[in-house]
Amino acid sequence: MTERLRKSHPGLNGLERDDPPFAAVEKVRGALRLAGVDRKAMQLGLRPGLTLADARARIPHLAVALADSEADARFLSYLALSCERFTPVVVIDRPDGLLLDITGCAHLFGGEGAFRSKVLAHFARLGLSVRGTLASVPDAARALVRFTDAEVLAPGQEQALVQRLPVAALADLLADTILALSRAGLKTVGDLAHRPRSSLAARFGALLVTQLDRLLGREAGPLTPIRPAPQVSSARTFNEPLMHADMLMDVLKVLIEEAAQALLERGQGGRVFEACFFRSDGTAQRLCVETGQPSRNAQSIARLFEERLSALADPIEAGFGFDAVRVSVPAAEPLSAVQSNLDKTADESEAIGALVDRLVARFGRDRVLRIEACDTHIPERAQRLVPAASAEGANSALQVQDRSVIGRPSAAAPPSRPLQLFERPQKIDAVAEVPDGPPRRFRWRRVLHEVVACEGPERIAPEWWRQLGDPREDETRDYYRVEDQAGYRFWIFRQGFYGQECAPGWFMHGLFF
Amino acid sequence: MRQQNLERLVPVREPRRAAAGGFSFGAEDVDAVLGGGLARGAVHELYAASHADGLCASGVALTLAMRAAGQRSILLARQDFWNSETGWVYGPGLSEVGADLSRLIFVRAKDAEAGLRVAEQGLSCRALGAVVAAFWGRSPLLTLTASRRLSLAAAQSGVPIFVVRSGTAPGPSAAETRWLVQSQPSFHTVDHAPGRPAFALSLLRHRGGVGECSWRLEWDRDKQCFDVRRSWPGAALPRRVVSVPNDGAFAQEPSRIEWLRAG
Repeated sequence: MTERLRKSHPGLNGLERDDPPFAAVEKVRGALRLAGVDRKAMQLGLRPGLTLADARARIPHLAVALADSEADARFLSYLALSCERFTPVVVIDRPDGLLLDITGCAHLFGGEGAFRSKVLAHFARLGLSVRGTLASVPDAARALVRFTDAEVLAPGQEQALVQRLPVAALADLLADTILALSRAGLKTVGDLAHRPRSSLAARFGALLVTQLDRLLGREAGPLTPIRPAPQVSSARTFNEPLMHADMLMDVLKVLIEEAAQALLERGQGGRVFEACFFRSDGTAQRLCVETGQPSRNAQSIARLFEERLSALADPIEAGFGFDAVRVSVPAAEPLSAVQSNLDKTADESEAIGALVDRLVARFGRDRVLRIEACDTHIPERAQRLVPAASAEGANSALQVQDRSVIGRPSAAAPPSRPLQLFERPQKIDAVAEVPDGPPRRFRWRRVLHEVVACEGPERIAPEWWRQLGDPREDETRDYYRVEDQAGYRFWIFRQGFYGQECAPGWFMHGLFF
Repeated sequence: MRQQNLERLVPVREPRRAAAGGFSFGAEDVDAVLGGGLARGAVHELYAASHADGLCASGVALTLAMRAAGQRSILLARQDFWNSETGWVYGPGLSEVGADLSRLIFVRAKDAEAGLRVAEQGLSCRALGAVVAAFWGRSPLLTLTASRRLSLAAAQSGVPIFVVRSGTAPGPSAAETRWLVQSQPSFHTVDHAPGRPAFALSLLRHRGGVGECSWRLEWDRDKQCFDVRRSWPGAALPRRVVSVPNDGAFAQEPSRIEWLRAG
């Protein structure tokens, strides 16, 4: 925390030798207390929890900034993302730790020792001083890194060290419990480990026993990674940072092919593909493409990424170069090999699906739509525009239903619904026979239209089970299909009735072809 | 030698038509003049005669696309500006002119550039039946070069594209045909209700050398074809008819009685 604050305050660079000691403060019950201190202040005997007045009395030239726990949390999750280059399972250990599950990853970096030093080097490059411990039990690693200087621990070694830890190393314990434990003479984890568990639970609560079990590796605690581990992923780490953004696509193609091969072996197809570019300055940029159907066609997926890259508002910057690139498949579905039909219909629908995917990658989900009919009389609710990537073939049945609602027009009858409908009916001035005759003439968009032919009214009453909104919307509408002298056809309606409190209004709702 | 030089001088050749045999209007008069119909794998432009005819032009483009596409899908790309001008595409209305909603993909394009991109993407997909791209107003992007790109892409895949333009005058383009669309009074039903979609279609330009001509057409939903009406409401508006008096002597005959037709 102090290092983040130092970075965000110019002049507190921390690198010069004669910099003042630094502390972050926060307000606790009306008093400013130290929330975090840097190494120099630590050496001078300052500790978190001390009031600022006391600290200032001891060290008058102490530099201070306000702590911001939200910004700290954001910074921590940013760091967690940048750690995804080491392992897909990164867990945030609040308030100041990260837990990397390196099962099956360490050998890729040359063993556990080399892995640890690579991770530490990564943070050192970001200007952070970080401690790291490798242990076989997550909770033990979490405790050991805070209370000891252990580096890489073999399972036997680990047990001995854990036994010597103070009771404060148990996670999530209340200060009262710790105080009570020390008053009872139970100072280390080892003291607790040999006690009968039932009496410990009776005296100090069940939480103590659970935490103890987790620390000793008797019980597995839950680990919540920042994102679920992808089904399939393949990555490349470069010895030298990749400086050109153009070369990314070549690397990406190779990785996609690898991922596609892995999917083929599992008999799956990916629905979501994600490319992650890890820059050497610690930022990680992510790109996602979705496919409407599960796919493992490397070529078409590479094309989707190309579309996505060229549609980016701010293109991917190489900066100081890319350290690593990873392609992962967060969502995959079963996909069996399909033999193409003799009449090629399957190929066609697949080609259409691929086209939709390309358009979605380029323009976004909400711009590539299919029209779905809904079962209602209310004109504006009779259709729904759904993303084409999600709707598949469900609408043909609805369409038949829809026609039965409206009443299938008899042969050669003109269309009874407009080709296009205004999202909101537009107010018009109309002259009509009172009380419920058809309009004679009306003015819409400052143009006067003389009605020469008219059909109606078609009365559409609001749905009584849905009368919630605006009372104006809940009024009966009388629709007329009219044609003017110039040959334009309109769908207009009168809302409400004459002779009521508020005079009825006339509206333009759609245009006929 | 001279022949080779000539070939080098003229490197651009017309691409071969990918799909022979075009699609017809279904109206004999029109098809006869056009020599059987319009070419697939080409750009067909439809200009709205005025702002108010924008919807009519897009309706004609859609129905033409339906005829061209048959059982295949149609990609409809439209600039967002159409939504405020002529309203949103409306499913029930589309099915009432005979369109199959399950075979329609609708793309909302932010601007002319996006519209062109969608159109080009669509033309690269051979499985599509037709592409309709609707643009509103003038745009510096819709140039001869852009239409040339589209027509090359269309020729390669054999997918026809209908470019609808409203609120602008025709400019240079590489389109195969260019039409002017204007809404027309419909042929009213017996109870004086507005009839089937009716419009005037004028051929402004045809690469195959067909001269300018014009038709008044109706769209027949049930047969899914266009229809030429010979007697039009303008000519057959109901007029004052003089009753035949009992004594056999006619009152003064209306001057244009020869216009009267039964329908």
